[in-house]
Amino acid sequence: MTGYLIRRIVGAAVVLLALSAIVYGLFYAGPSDPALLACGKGCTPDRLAVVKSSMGLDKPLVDQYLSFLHAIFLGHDYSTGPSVQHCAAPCLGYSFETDQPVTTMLGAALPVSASLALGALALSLLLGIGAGLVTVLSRRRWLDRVLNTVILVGYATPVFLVALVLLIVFSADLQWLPFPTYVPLTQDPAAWAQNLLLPWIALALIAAAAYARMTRAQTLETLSEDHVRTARAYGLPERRVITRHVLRGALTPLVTMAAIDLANIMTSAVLTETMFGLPGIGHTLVSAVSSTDLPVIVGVTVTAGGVYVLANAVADILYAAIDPRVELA
Amino acid sequence: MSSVLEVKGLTIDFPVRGGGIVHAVKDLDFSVEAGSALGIVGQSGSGKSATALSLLGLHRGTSARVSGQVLVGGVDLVSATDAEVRRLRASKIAMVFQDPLTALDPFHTIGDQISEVYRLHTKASRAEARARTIEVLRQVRIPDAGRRYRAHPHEFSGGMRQRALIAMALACRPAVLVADEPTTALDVTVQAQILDLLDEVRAETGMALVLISHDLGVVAGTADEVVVMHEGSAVEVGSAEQVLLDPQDAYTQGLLAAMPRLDAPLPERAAAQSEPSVLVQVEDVAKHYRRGGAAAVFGRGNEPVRAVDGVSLDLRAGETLGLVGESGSGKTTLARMLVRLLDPSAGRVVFSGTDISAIPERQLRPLRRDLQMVFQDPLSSLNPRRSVGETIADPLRIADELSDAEIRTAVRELMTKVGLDPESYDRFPHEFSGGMRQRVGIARALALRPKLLVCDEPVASLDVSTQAVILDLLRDVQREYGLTVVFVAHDLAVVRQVADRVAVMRAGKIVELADAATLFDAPQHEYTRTLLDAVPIVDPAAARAQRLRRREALAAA
Repeated sequence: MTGYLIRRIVGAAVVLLALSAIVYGLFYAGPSDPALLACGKGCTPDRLAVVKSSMGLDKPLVDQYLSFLHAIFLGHDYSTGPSVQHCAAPCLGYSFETDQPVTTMLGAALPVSASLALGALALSLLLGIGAGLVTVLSRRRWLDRVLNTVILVGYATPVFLVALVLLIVFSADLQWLPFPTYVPLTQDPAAWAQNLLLPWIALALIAAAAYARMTRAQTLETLSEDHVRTARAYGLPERRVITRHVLRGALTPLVTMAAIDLANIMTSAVLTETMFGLPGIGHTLVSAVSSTDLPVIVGVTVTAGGVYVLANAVADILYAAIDPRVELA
Repeated sequence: MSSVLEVKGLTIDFPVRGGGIVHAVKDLDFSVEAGSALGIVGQSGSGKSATALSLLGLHRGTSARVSGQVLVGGVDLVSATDAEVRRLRASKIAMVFQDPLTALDPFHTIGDQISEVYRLHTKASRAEARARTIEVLRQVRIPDAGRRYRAHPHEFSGGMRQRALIAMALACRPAVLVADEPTTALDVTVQAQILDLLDEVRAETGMALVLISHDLGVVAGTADEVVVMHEGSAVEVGSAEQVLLDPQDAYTQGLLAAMPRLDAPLPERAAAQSEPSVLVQVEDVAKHYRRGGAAAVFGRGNEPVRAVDGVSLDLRAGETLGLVGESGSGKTTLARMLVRLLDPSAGRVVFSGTDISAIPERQLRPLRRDLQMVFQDPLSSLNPRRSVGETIADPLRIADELSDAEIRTAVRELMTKVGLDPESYDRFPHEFSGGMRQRVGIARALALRPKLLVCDEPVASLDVSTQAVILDLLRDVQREYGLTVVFVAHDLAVVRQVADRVAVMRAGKIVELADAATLFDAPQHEYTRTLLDAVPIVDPAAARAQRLRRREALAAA
């Protein structure tokens, strides 16, 4: 277990380093010059040089990258003319656009994304596993067909369409729910849930379709396994066969899927965030990219990478906890 | 004596796609007395497994149509309600299945699974169920049963898992135990242990046993009565002695004749050449596998797995060398190194004067045509999307010596030679039976007229009657092509029929290598003797004597 954790942490560090290096490199290969953008129209070469140096863009790529790493672990002092601004570790720099520390921006965006992702995941697992099991176990042909069709439609519908329909119906026409604005959970749990309900539903409908299909396939497979026949041959009632000897095996693969989905929704639910006006990670990243805001881009990318690595590790540990045959070594 | 199980007019039909019906079992009658053992024998497709499932009403909820009567403790399992059938299962009639590796739920401990069944039928408390479970685990000779209660199935070997399943069957003290091919997935020594165990628990508990097998030898030492099934019907029913020693039905006679046996006279062999030349020299060959990444990096597990651990032998031109051993003994690994399908970790394999163990693929290529292999599973070793004619033609096309028309002619000749209809050139593997597919594999291996033919369990997946035909075919082509054959098998009786010399492998090493006659009549190594004593014998009296010998050997150890 200790060995496993060490390897996992080392692996994560390597992944995140590589990720930040690649983003740095890509950024430099790109055509736009952030200093020129910051300097604005009619910028003189002298002025540009000053802007470049204050943004740290006049140093070689490698130096910039190393000072970025240095800032993460040890903090960094930025000199803007006469005044010196200290950015404490972990420092991801300041946004070119807003001059806010990147960590502050991430601190604001992460809870939004986490709220969105956790709620959507819980809802989609509930819907997906439920629908999947009903299609397999109901033994009613028509119900199976209807649910399968619904699942397929859910699978094929773009999220922005679902979001739009939900907003028009529930917020605009019926006015059952407010137009979503993010209210922190710590401030008012009821308002938090009420505001996030529509985005949760929009995301969950699509993810649930995937879970339903997976649940269905896995359950059918497990039902045909020898040990299920053994359980039946020893007189176990069907309900007990399912709850004790089928579900655990059938639903285990969903753990991995859900962990990846969680990371996915947290970091790249741009469409949903935009549709519902939620200032999450995806939203932050897209606006940073459109304004060539390097510190924010790198900060968000590395954070997103960290979320993925963490989610994967959690999935592996859960998997080993569920399946006695799996050893973390 | 009273019958604990009575089957009357049992008929099982399976509807198949396209509106047809397969009659799996036709009008079957038999009964089992308390404390007695009934053997049901038949080849694949004889309906024996469909019969076994119907004894517990396990066809319920499937498309099978069951009629007739299956009476257990006065209840007819065919017409009873689902709840009645569930109550009978485990408490009156219990079943042990073929593959112990998959028959237990991997997520729960062995003890919990047995306790669950016991509590369900007896309403016992947790503590009582635990005590009973440990008791039955002891009864099936699982050492340290109290601790093993908490083990998961994957921590048990195949034989141990089958013991655990037998313990589960014993837990509720049923009147009948149905064992469907309980030893087919196990090694021969483990098979003997499980059969001995079944015999012992029957004597101890007075429970009746229904033992189902494709192997006449498996039922011989255990069953009092034997039913021989063929195409869904019982062709012969009688006492074990009568059916096995004096069969009346032609089908039973044929089955017995086809069965390779250790007590049959050794087949005639051509007199050995005075000075046999050596075709392949194997010198201290080894194959080691590193354990997976993390185990190798973090402490334990630096020790590699030694699949083959220093084997030397000479393969004489024209001989058949039998390579026997239990699963994990390294016999397949060694066989694959002989034809360089695996690279040895150490040692030399010298074929006709060339060391083929480490030469680059380019230099090896001209020799490949001389080194051919026939695989165990004829279905998975043939490309399902390629016609059998093209499959056999592949080596000829790679050799690129003949025109297309010549290749087609050559393939048709090969097909005739191995007993395939040349008109089936354009048909696909799934249209053939197992035996026919193996003929395709043999024809493909012969296409380039090799010098060495390595057959890895070529008949293990076939019924005995088909086995006999394929073995005959191999013998014929060996004579005609002057082949040197390495015959890998776990079945000693089969090897005895075909091999001139036999090497016995255990844990990556050869423990004994001798002429077939010497090895089978006067084995030198202790392990060879254990193996031979575990081979099922068809003569019921001899089989019981053999069981007694095993028991004494166990008591002495």
